[in-house]
Amino acid sequence: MKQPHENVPLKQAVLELFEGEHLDAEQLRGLRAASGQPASPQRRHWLAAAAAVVAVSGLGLVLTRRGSDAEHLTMLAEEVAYTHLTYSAAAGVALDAVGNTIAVLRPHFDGVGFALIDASGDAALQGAALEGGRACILTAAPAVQLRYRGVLGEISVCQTRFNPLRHRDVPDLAGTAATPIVLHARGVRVSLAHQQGVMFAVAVAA
Amino acid sequence: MAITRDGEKSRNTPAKARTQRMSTLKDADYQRAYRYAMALCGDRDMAYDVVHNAVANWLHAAPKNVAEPLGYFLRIVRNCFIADGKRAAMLRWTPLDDVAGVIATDMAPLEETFLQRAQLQRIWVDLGAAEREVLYLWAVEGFTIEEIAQQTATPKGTLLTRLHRLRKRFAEPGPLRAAGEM
Repeated sequence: MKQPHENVPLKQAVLELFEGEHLDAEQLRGLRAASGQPASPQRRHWLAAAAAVVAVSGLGLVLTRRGSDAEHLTMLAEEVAYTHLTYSAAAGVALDAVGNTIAVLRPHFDGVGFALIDASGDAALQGAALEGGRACILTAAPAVQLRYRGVLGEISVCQTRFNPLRHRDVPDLAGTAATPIVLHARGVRVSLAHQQGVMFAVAVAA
Repeated sequence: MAITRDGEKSRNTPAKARTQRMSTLKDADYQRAYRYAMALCGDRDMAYDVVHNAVANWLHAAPKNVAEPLGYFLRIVRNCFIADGKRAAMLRWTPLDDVAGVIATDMAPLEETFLQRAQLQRIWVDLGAAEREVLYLWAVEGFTIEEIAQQTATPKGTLLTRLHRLRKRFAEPGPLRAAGEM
């Protein structure tokens, strides 16, 4: 695993930022179609291979959605899980601000473009104590990673401004009986939801 | 002259190459264009829209004799990004202190810069589109300072001065470890 405190060449660090950025199959098809190119004859093989990988990898996706939506949410869960594992206290990553309430932390993250919300209603956070937060990036936008500690160990709550396109299909908790959607990635349980204009993801070891 | 790496410069282009059109772009080329758009936009959906618009622009222009399709496409991506007035305003450098010290004549100082991964992530959020673009072209596409100057339509001297200032950001100390942590 790449260590966040490891000194690396700037060029390598920038390269790593872009390693995970790529068009998905649906987007590539759209561009080929727009340019007049034929759809890839390998498309069916790709979808079959992807389905096989998901089936045997034990990721435990709990979605029954169209392929493009599942992939989109999977990528989001992957990014959250990576952030949780890589930028943790266990990995030696310090917080930018310490505090045990959202109100105390909110002024420290004035520049991220949204106000932190209190997501402590999530089941994974029951009995957990807020320790602080750090600025980070989520779906290529400014975000905040809050660090909680509970009986399950370290818990991350990543928050970023809700974008209806970027975070499509993430449940709106304002709806009646709405609940977060749960995925698993890298051995981490990730729940996704949005409320009050903020998308938040709760990550904890599965 | 549109430039891509891997030695693909448009000089003495053979007749066969002159007939290349958009249909010759491969998936890897679209991915490169998307990552370039990501560096400019800092937003995945915006980046996809920019690349999609670039495709439409190419088809509308219907250029002939495109010797280097990928290089040409990357230029269109950039033009599509700045075509929007708000985005054009994003292509500005973050104001920094006055220049101090000797300004290098090449990218060597950046090549010699080391920093923590977490530190770059922190700094990257505050960088503007122009800064992200230059760092992307240098680190990911492997452009020289001359090629970056041409791609961004920026005088080489101006670029070097701005990079000199930007390097100060990376020289700032990284985050301290949590108390009690190794």
